[in-house]
Amino acid sequence: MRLLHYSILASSIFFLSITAVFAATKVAPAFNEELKTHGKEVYMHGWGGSERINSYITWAAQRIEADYGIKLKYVKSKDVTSIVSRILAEKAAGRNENGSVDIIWLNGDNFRAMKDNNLLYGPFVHELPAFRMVDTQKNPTTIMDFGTPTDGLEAPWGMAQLVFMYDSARLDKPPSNAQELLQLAKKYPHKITYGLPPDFIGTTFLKQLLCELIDDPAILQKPVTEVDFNKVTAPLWQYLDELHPYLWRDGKSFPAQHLSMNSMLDDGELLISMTFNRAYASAAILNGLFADTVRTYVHEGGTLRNTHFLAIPYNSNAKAAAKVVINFLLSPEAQAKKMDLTMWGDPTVLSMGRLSAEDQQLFKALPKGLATLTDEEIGIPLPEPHYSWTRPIEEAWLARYR
Amino acid sequence: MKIKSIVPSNKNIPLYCGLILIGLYILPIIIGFIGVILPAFHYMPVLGHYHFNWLSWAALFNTPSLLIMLLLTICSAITSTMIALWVAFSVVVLYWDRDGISFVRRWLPPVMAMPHVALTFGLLFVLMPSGLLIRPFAWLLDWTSPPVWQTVQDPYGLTLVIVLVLKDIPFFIFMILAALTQLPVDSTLRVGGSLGFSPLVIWRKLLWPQLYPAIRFPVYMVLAHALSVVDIALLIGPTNPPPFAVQIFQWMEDNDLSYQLQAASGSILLLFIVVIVIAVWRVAERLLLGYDKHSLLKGSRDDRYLCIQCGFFLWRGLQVLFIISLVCLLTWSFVWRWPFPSLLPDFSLISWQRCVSSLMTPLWHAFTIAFTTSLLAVILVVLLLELKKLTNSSYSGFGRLLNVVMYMPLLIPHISFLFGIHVALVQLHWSGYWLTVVGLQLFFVLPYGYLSLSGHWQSYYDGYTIQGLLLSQSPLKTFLQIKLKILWQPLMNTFALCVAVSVAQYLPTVIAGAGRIETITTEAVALGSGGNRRLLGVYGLSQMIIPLCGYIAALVIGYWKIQDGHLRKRVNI
Repeated sequence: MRLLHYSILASSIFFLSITAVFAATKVAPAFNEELKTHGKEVYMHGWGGSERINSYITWAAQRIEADYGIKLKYVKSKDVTSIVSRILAEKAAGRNENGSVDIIWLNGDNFRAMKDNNLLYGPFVHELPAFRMVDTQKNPTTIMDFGTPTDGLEAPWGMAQLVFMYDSARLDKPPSNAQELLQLAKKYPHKITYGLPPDFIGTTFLKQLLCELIDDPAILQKPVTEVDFNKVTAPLWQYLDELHPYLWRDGKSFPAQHLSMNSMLDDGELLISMTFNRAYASAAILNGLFADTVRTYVHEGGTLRNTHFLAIPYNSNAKAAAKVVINFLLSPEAQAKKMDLTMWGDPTVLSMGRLSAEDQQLFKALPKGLATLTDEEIGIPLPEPHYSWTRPIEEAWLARYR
Repeated sequence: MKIKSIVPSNKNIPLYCGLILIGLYILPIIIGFIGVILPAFHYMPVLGHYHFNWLSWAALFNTPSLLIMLLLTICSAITSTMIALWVAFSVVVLYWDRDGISFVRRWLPPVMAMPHVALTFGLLFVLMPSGLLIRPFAWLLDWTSPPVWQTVQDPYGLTLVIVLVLKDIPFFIFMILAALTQLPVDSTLRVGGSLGFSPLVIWRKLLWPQLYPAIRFPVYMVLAHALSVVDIALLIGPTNPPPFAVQIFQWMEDNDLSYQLQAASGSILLLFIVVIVIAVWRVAERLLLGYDKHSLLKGSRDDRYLCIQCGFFLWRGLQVLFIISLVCLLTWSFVWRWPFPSLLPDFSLISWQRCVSSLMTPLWHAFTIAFTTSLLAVILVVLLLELKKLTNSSYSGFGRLLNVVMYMPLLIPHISFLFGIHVALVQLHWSGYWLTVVGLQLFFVLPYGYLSLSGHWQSYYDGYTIQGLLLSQSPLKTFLQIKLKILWQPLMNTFALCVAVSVAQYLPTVIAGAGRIETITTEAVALGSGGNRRLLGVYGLSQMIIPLCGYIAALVIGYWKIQDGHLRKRVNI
């Protein structure tokens, strides 16, 4: 008991001193010096399937090494869950320090899994000077990750909203809601599909349909155990039963990876593809992946929005350096570079109103993509359903359509 | 008299050494198994499960379409293994008398060097509805969008079978050729021929019954691999439902960590299926042999030429497919845009320019790891084979034990025990190091080295060694200067095979390297999930560089040597 008191005392002293430091010095370099991180290596783990994201992180690593003397190494992974499993295996093996991961790029279920299993360090986000430029009231997804409160355990890094892509040379008018999508599928059979759940985008698409098809989407914010799942989701299954016979491969087979839908859109095998990155199409046109007639659209009732985050595992031995890195990645300079189409094109989590005029200029100067929707065009953001909906939806889907 | 004095006096020493090596080798399997059996019965303290029960098995058996998944797995594995074996035998038989076998030996290495992930990418580019095979028709018939054909990822797993067949044929040919070195092929053919039997009848009636037992283990290996294959099946196999191994893999990767328990139970079930299928295959072998004995002894001269000829034509077709895939892989790596109906793409160097700097580190890692692993593997295999030879006179059980143990990592599905190894490596603070990657890869590379070398070791004529011992009085000198030199060429080929196997390792590299040691294969698979065909082209080709260099080096070192500053051809017996 006494030990507990001491540790609480010690940690509060530590926390206070850190806060004091921030109060005194607002600029990032001082934040770094206080934390004595020079020469540290930071291993950041995340999805590595995009060469553009990888090259953005390479740019960031060069800047971080120049400014702070920290070596940022990006470990590319096939998917984020394998990283969570690795940290889990480390915990299983009792490796409570010197873990292999210092920063993990994640959100949603992976965050919840790590939070539930006490695999995260923190709270640390409020220590970051750059976090003050995030407007958590205007953008509630920056502190509420798929219905899970972040509690300062992960720092928002980028914004995502479900958008659809189509080739205007092959399709005149994209559907503006679920019913129009159904009509389109009937008009052009075998040309529409979605990612096979539990593919991330595939499941999101099901949630999107659910939001559109039920009378009161607010019910989805409750934990699934508090509602009658079968009754609430009945309209979704009814809709899918009608849609599936007109889908690609008669709705019996689905692309296991939603990204392969982009190639199929380019080939003309599909009429519609979907992504969480509103700048994807513009960037893909620049890179020769899409014809320059491809455009982005959203459903009129709005589409699901979420945020992706950076967190520090509990057993990292470079926590201070990791914080410096995350703080840099949240800075206007790094966020503007990230939003640049020629780089990655990922929307910022910072709120323009909280930036200096000089920093705002960084964002205003960015080229607008050929196929990117503006803030006005992107429509109403819908909140993601409570995380507890994901697994029941996926399981019900598999039981019906496998 | 002299010979006896230089042979080790205590005959048990080699046996003990051998047993220690075997023990070290089995250890990871045991650790891995414990790591998967506990969660299979719901014991996983880190997730808060402290009590043994059957819940995860109940969940497993409630999986939708479980039976279809299992059937899919079993059928595709058996079909692909049978077709590959048939085609490989046909190729060897038809090439043998045409003096073409050396030709086969020459093209075999580069084909085997092709990592199967790269091969799968290439085949995808050819066979998909917008692929090269369909574009000429689209161009002729004026199609603007690809047809709605289920050419890849078809629900019956046919394209999966094609890839597996294509991958296994060269391996079977390699194994058959290695096994044939122990059989008196030419003299059998001569004697049979003088009795008026056609070569095909002799192959079938006299050589095949001797050959099959020698390649039985490789056949089981291929069968086991086809049952548990993940990477190929993920790319080209059916998706809804997928083959069972893919389903296990997806559970392991699921965001919801409680699926780990189900994955563990699934791994055990998969292992069980592998055992059952091999057992059934074994019984079928016996039954067929019993049935066959009758027809073999009838004296019929029906040579079943058609059967062999069909197998050969199939091989020709697959060869063409293989070459087109390679061309496609190469083409896509130089593409800027290649929209559907057009036959020719807009070429560009941009993919290579972008990737060249990020390719260097993974290539270097892959090279150093492959080189070290293969070197160690070859040395260990030679050591084990020598120990086997030394103990053979006194205790033949060691040889048999060695055979079984060596093939274990190839017969047991990898996903069944890699998770347990992962935990153990982390616990020992060993993960994330270059040396650990070498160690774990060695575990998977060693069996291939053993497989490819043991035939040659057995067929070695001991008279040479006895002569050498009489002349030099030194076992070491005799071994190095006589035996190794005589077996130099197979030794080099084995080295090259080990390099190819090492470079292609994905799961072991990721697990031992904690993701920090990136090789060209881990990078290729990570980028593969992004679906950018240009990058798949670049990484697929880059994956082939090291194995190909390995084979070329083996070929050169195997046939040539530098003596007195001149390049001379080796004398190969």
